[in-house]
Amino acid sequence: MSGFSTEAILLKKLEYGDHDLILTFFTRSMGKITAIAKNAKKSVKRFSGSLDLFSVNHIQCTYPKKKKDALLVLSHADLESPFEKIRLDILNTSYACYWLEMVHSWLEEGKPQEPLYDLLLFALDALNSGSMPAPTISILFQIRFMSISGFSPSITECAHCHTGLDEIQGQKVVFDFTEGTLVCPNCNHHPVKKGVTVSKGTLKQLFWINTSDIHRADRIRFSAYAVREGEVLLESFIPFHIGRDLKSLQFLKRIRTP
Amino acid sequence: MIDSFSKLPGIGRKTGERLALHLLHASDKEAQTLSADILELKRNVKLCSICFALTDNTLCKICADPTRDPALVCVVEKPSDMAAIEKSLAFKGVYHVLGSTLSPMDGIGPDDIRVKELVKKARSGKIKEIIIATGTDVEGEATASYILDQLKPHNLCITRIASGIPMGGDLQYVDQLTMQKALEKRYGC
Ligand SMILES: [Zn+2]
Ligand SMILES: [Zn+2]
Repeated sequence: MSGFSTEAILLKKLEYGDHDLILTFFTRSMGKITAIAKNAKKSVKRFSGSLDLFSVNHIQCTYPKKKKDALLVLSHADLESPFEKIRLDILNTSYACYWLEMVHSWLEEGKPQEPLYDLLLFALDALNSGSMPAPTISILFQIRFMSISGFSPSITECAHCHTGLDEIQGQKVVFDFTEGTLVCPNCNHHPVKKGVTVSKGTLKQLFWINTSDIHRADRIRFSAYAVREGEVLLESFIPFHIGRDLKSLQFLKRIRTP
Repeated sequence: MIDSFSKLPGIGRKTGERLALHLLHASDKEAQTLSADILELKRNVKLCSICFALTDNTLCKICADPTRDPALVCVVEKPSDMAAIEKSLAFKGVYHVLGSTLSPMDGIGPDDIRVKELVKKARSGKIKEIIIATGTDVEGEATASYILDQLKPHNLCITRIASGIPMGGDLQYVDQLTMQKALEKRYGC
């Protein structure tokens, strides 16, 4: 029987019948894959506690015997990191699930996407260790996710008159969702259909967190105001570009409001 | 018919088709019994007005039992979890059935499970301890964490069921998280 083994983050788990699970993993070497874990609910020996959301596992899969449209079979999984400090906190779990759903909705099956894999692993690790506040990690994850997935917004100049962010008059600009660009107050004659107003300071911080060395990201200090603005901007822009509402984002917003 | 079956949990279109075909070939009596059973279930099975367990009365057997301690409340996700705890004969309190666990990815939020009802009970001043007995998967832990946050202001004893090595378990197959908890909660000495 031929197969492969790889490191993987569990993105989604579906019960299938009474004993089996259908699992979607984000693997380092093969991108998103879906596999069936037969008898997963009973077999402690093969899967001991490791088949849970956002856990990192070393997995072994075998190709199905009847090639076409049958699912990969998960033959073995070894838990590498359960991220227990995320699991034991509802707010952390909400953030992690939001990132998983973003990744799950955007990735196509079988296309390797190592930079995104590393980004997700970095974010989960930071959330688990508490090295940065959760809202900051989420802003970092979202803005870098957008760069990697190709709908990177351009936030350094006005899209119409090309005035640089620093030279734009006033404290605020409009961010246009449809175009993913900035519109300065001088060019904002025709009101932007889908967009938000955001301050220049927040945009500069977003630019910094997107382009600086990720391992120095813990040095950034967002003000409560900038976090709020960054959240509104990114959490509206991402579902808009993915093309659908994310259930876990609604959940996160509900948990965040006391 | 196939559409109706497909709406049931765990049943897809294919299984729905198989069930419909099976019923097509079944005897009239078999079909009548099944439809009568479904109606009977809807008519007679209610939710206990205190703990939300399934019952054919206003109160379930446990809430109606004077020997059970109403100041000790065990919070479970669903009636089958309650049955599993009952089978152990280790619990003499009463239950609170949430109906589901929180699930961010499925959009099941705090307003979709019976947490408000639990907080109301906690506020009554008649409860001494609340044991959170949701599962140990991500959804179960998230639910436990949320309930703990909601109950914190109420000055009660709130506990979480322990996890550890299963009966007949071989240590080499126990995951690191369970092992960690089993060592933390070790007993004796
Ligand atoms: Zn302009
Ligand atoms: Zn009851």
